[in-house]
Amino acid sequence: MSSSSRAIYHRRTHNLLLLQNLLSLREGSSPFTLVHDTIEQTAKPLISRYIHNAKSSKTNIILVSFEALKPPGEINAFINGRKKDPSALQAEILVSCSADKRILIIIDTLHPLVSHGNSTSIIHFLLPLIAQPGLKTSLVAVYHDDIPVHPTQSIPAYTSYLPSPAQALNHLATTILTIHPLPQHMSRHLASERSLPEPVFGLAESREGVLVGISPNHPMLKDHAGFVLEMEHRRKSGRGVNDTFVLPLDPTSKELQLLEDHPAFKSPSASKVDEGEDAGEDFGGVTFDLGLTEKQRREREGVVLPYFDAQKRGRGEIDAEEGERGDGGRILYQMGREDDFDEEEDEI
Amino acid sequence: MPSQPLLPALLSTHLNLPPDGALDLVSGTLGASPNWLLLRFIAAALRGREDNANVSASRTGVIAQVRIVLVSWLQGAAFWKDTGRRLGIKFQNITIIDALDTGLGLTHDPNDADAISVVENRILGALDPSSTNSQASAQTETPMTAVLILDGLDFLLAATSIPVQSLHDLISSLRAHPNVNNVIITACADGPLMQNQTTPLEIAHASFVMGLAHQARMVMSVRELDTGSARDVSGVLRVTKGGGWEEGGEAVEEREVLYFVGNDGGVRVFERGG
Repeated sequence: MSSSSRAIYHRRTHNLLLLQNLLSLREGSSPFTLVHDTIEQTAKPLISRYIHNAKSSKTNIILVSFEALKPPGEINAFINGRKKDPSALQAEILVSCSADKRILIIIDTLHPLVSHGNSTSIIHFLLPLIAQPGLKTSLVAVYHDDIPVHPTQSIPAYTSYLPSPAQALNHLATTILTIHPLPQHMSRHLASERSLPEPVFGLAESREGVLVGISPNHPMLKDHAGFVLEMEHRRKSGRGVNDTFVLPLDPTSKELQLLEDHPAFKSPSASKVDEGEDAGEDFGGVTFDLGLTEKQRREREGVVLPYFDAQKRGRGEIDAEEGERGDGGRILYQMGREDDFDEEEDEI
Repeated sequence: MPSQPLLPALLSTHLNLPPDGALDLVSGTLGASPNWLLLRFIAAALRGREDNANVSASRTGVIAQVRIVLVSWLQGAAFWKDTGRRLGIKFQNITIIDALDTGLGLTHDPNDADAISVVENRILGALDPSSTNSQASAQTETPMTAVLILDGLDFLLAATSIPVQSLHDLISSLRAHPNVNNVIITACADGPLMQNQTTPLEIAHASFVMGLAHQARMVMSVRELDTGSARDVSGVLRVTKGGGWEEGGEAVEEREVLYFVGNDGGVRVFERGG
């Protein structure tokens, strides 16, 4: 086993298991998960996966909503965060946490909280939710990367030296999950494989008036719809684990896989290994058969190449038929049943 | 009356009445105004209302009566009535709040923090079913829901000191209001406002529009042709799902089409190369 295949085997087993633990909120795995998304691919499918997993492990779910009017499916508490003072909202969340059960707190966007002040205030808001003694909470909060932060209040001048809220949150988080749309990620991957400039979508198109990109239609993704998840998990030891996965949109599906294992992203060397394993499988994208049937193989072995024929004559029959010496190089061909002999054109 | 059909066939599914609480974002640029699209939304809602009226005549069940409330910061009421008349849209059935002429939400007193609640109360007043004319009061038995259209709400950001979050809170509470079925908002998406923001106004505007896109069920963006102006194409319309689109919800067909607004106000919507 080569070192690269050993590395991918390690990632396949360890990192996938780690992601599954994170998504199913295994005890103490990640107190604060920060999810970065954009309008191109929102965190909705990931959030519904969290809710699905929490329900099956009988964890209480508290959703703090600034965007959605209605709760997505069954949850234990739906807290409307709009028009509320951050400290009042914090108190309301803590009241609905019961001490004896594990609790998942989901915040559907951090932006209203961020714009209430500076980056220190958001940390003051979140810390009690993450590390409240006596409470077993996991916090999952979504941050939209494409919304610039606009402070509402006149804030003191020194705050311009503070890190941006996104940076501060990244420092606080124990796991950072970044979400990308799969079709667009695949287009970029295909372009970079051909050394072409990578395509851009949505706001990055820099076209006046364009807000959201139109996802390219890859026929290959028809049966493999999903989204790309970039994970950065910080272990208690301080060691970081980074990896990229593809998750299906359906929250009940368990088909999590590494980005490299997704059919659309398999590197040529990796796919060669696979071909060796299951030879005879059809070659993708080729409309004719590259293999040989048993009959074709036998006949090919039986063909006498002109070079060998010349050698044989030169060596064995040199005395008997002197005249034929040296005129090797003729193509000797035995007519078969399937050959169509034409008197005028073909002569042997 | 223009020769083109009032509701373009390619957009028929997009103009249908969306589910309760939905938010649709319509964005335009300086060179490509989304007014024509807004008029099509109004016409579609009016048509839906007529269909509903026919149904309720045959059936005795309680059918939601759809009202249309248009709040416009960028155009006066006269503009909408005039263009509506040319297209055959009956604007007497529509409640128009002329925010441009009355200066709704515009206050010259920087200490007056209540500008946003003035706006909210004015809109809520118009949404109140009892405030409308006798035709509606004759049908008080039927629940009244409204299609609320806020045209150029981003103007308040530029003209006043109302913070972005207050506008978002206003929109959320209007969406959640029992008298409102859905909200349609138009906003500017010009390049200087959305790309590489530096000034506070640019940041606030981008934050407002992208925040709306994340809440919206559908985003319809109108822009000029990328290759310059043409005689037979007015611009490009891109329809995409917004961040608020629910999985398993009503389908939003993502597409990009060209459109041409004729001199008579008629609009032709067609595919590229069509």
